[in-house]
Amino acid sequence: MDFDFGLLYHSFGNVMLDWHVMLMIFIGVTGGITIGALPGLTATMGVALLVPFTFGRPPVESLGMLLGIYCGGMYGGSISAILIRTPGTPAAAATVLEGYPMGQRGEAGRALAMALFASFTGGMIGALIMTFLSPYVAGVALEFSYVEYFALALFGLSVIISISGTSIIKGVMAGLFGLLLSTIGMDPISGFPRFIYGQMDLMEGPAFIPTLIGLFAVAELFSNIEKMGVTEKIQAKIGQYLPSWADIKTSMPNILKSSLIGTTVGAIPGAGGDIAAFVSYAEAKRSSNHPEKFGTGLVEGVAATESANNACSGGAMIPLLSLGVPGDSVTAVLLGAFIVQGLQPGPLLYKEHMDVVYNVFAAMIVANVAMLIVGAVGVRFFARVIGMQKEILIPVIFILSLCGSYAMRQNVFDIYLTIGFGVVGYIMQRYHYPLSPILLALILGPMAEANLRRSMVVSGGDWHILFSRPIAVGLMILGVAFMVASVFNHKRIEKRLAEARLSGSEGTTE
Amino acid sequence: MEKHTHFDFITSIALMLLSLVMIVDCYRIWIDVGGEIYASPGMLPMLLAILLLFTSFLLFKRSIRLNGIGKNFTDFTAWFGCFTKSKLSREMLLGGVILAIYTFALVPRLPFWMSTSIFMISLMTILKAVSIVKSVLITALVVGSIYGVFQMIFHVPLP
Repeated sequence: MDFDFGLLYHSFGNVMLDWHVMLMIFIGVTGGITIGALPGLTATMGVALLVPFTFGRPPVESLGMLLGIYCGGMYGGSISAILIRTPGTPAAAATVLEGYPMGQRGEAGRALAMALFASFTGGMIGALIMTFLSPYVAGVALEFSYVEYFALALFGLSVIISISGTSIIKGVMAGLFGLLLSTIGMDPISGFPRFIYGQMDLMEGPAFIPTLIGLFAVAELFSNIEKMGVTEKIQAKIGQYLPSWADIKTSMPNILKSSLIGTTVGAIPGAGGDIAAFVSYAEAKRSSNHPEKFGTGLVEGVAATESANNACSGGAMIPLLSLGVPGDSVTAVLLGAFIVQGLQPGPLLYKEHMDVVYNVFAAMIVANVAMLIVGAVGVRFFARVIGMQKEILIPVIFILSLCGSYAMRQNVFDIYLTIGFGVVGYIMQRYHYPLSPILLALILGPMAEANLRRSMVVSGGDWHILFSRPIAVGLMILGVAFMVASVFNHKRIEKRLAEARLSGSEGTTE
Repeated sequence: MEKHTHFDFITSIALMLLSLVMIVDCYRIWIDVGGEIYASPGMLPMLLAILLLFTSFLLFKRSIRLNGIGKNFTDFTAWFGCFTKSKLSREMLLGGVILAIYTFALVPRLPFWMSTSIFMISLMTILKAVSIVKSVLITALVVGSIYGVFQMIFHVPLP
């Protein structure tokens, strides 16, 4: 599938010349930075909360606003990381390492300015790679049959191990739980109702948006109630909005390298901005002429982590748009936003709604520019937002969550579903069961099941059909390799942690 | 990191029971629908439930290896005792009750603005967020904004 420059030019016109779209993007970016700056609230939560409210608007407006939240949220996390040593989002965790010491030295403005510039550059590079690469990936995917789609879903599910956090077994259990949830409701082939126990509202399965809001917004609110009462007052003075030329010159190689790392990591389903930021930070330290200075507050460190996590958003959009497989938790929620608009991401989207795809490309690029403007103008306001009391925020976000879950089908049952999943999500989070595998399983489960069953019916129950097409076999091998690599990586990390603990205890004894 | 072996022990038992129920259900589906197992709507869920049973058993085994059955039970009972006595859990429980009243009793019966105002003011009072006057003002602002933005601009129906 060839890239259409003319259509991209037209799409920029659609986005930039329509004040409704521009307003939505700016609202999204401002909301995203605010949500990102507030510790405990993530971009995933922001997008999940607002998806149901956008279905009455045209696709370009609603997707523009959600992409604005995505881009803004990724940058917003750095503000609290630098000012109060608490990353606003998981993706900004690595920014604390260099950003906070800079703030302590009285260079908070310099660190924030670099975070903004690096986020903008990384976001633009990621968005441009997404724009030019995803049509080609979609072109290949257009040749896929049931077997390849099943293999693709399996490949997507194989990353559950890499996003399992501290325990692989709990990650796998969460994934299996999610897959079982995805089988609730009418069977995709025979129409037989499964596990609904007389509850007709479950005929189509647990509704996606209320489930998402429950797992990612309400569960997070419950966790926040436990951490209430701690409100940081910002002491730092912010007198700089954009980085100096000298800082840009010093950090540019790291920004470019980290943007490429971020986009690549983002394109791997399941790997998010946090992984991209830490990988880039490690690479910046490894390739530096003065690695010993890392950790003391180096502007290059902030540049590396922030460009990587923002580039990750463009990367994560590639599999979403071209294959229908989300790259991270935010794009998983965005998948729901596309469905709400009657659009199914994947190769067919390029055939049937090419104009929407190009509008998304243009909106993503414009959202990054909007982030630079809003970030520079509003940095003092966002720094003040961090001090907002959680006791006020929690009830407000809670109301938004319930309104959001109701809005889609106007069914009170969806509110109950949201609360139920909120409780399940809270318990899981509290006892270190990761939530992302459930999300991945809920999205990829139906895709895997429908295509596996169709393949089985077509072949009369012959399992060999799954290994009859080269691309499918390639994807399955890739999936297995990914799983094995993740297990080894996990074991290596565990071993290092054990060694560190051992040397720590020996040090204490001495 | 917080030790939670006893919780792994309890969750693994709960998940083993859940997977057994699902395996039985899937078998029933197969019998009800008939035909070959590969075409049955119960095939994939059964496979998944078996895998969940297996992984839950692994977690169960690990928790016993680390703590033993007796200590897991004692730890869980001790944790439960502390949980019921702690101030935070009592506050959370009260918050949960208000939430349940709002969701199951107020939302289906009262207009959105009224149920939401009652919920927000009571929750902010329990969380000791601000004075009553301030919480009334904040509530009015939030409810008004939700009406304005979502119902007027986005045309989204509210509960």
